[in-house]
Amino acid sequence: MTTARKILSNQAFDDPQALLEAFKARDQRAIAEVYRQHVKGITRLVQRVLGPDNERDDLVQEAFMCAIEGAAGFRGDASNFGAWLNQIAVMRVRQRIRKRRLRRWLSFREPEAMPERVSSVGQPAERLALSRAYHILGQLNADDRIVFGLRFIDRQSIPEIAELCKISCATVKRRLTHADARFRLLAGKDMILRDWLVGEVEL
Amino acid sequence: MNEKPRELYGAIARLQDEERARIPFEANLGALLEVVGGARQPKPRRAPLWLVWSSAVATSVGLTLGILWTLGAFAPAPELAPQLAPSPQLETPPATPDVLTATAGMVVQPVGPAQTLVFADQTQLIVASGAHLSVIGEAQVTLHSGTLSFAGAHRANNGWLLKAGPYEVSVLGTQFEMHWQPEAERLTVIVSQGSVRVSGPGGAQVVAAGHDWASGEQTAATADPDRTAEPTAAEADPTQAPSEPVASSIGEQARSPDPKKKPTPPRAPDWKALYERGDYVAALAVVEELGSESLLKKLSADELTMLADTARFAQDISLASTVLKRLRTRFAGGTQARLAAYTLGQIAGDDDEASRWFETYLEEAPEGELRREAMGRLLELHTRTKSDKARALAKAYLNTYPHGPHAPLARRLLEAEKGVE
Repeated sequence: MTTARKILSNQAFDDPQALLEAFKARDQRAIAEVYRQHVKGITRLVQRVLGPDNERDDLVQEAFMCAIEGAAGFRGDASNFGAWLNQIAVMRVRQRIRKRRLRRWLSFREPEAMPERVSSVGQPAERLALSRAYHILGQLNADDRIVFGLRFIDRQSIPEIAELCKISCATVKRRLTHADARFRLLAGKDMILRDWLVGEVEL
Repeated sequence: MNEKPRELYGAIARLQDEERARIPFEANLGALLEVVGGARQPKPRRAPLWLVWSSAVATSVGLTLGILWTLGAFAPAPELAPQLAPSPQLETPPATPDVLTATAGMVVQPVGPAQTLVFADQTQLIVASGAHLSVIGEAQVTLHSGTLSFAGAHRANNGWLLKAGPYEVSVLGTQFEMHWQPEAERLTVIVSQGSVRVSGPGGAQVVAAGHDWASGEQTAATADPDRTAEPTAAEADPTQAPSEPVASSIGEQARSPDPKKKPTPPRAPDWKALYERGDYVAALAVVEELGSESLLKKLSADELTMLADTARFAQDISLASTVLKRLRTRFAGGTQARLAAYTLGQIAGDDDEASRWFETYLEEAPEGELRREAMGRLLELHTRTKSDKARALAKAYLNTYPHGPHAPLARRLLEAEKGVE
């Protein structure tokens, strides 16, 4: 049995507040328990925004590291701890997208030159559509890309997105409108995606 | 939002959910706990104020340069400056930074943490602690001993060559790991994505993602259940059948090898299995290894359609076009040949050619399953090229498909022409 499984199997935190306090104190069992409770949700958020991405798991780990490092400064209680973790994940994703765009801009590389990962599940046509969709989303700015992923792929409500991104509902709506229009414009020119968007093609 | 994008977004979410179910969260938790455990360092004593200020200016200058370096500002664009100046002096790898820009002649022997080398084409080599590696050129290295991981650009063949003793590994895909033990003359190659071509005393063969190769034996990998589902020799295409039985369990992988045993060439992977897995670039690389011309003569209509899709999805439109045209010649009049006409319209390089292929499809398959789509595409093309045929086609489309996806376009076109009149 691996160390992680031993720790996972030894759950001793029935009280969420006690779990939070132990997490703040960097108790390894508490860290393992928090990880177990939240890793799938955080991974889902990262997936929705980034798509198939080689850095997905790194980002999830980074989000947890960031939470562990910053837990002492968390002033909320156990009821909003999960939301705080999700905000960290979204913040890390946003930073990563911005850094990539900046790096791309500084190195004068076209988006097409960036290596991309292909999903390993599903039918070939769906996999290709997913890959192409995120290729196009890669051309959106970080803020638009995040609201697009959370709203259209993850089906979150506008107030939920506003809370996650720490912005107003009006800002979410504005970004969504912009992101949606840009995505449709670019996808309409894509040989693969236009089949999924037929009827919406602008000539 | 109309239904079509919703279907797309739903399909994406479903694929991601399936993929998430395969993530080894437990292993990742183990790594996280190790990092957290190792990160417990006593806080250093605060430096005197004068020392902080005196170093601040130097630090800020260094930091600025460091950030620009990290972001790649000083790295040449891959297409513009791939030249490496030969500098065959021995370099001792510094403790920091962990990432070095590779130059020809560089010798790397990390004694502490693994060392990452970044090449002009953005390929990254991670050289494990204790390994010994020389950079020979812009896309060539020699591994004298130890382990390295390769992560390259996603291209069918990026010209990379890695040498280890008598073996050469040509890169056809993107990610793999190799381990060389010079004393035992034992090379192990573990391909996680794409494919590589290993050549040496035992011959040359392609090793695909999900397979391990070792001099003296060949084993199927891995922990990924999909990857163990590689077809057996009997199931595979006869032209791609293995010359040796393939081990199918991790237990076999773990058996101790005989270093004196003659190396066995690994079997060629099945391009159709790679296609089904979605690794189109690797599938195309295998097709190129096998020779696309011989496949064009042998494959069935369904297989040719699959080959055309492989080429199309790997962005090799020229090959896709060739395959589809050959399909139409060999299986003229068949369903696949008619569908090939539609696909040729989709991938055509210009509007006139696309129009011709869609018209061909409509002629050959007047009641075909893609008639509505073909008419719609043709309507788009005629509208864009302001063809005289646009008006008649718009009327025909509305008569047949008054609620079709291109009906709004057809109506707009007719109304615009009415306005002009």
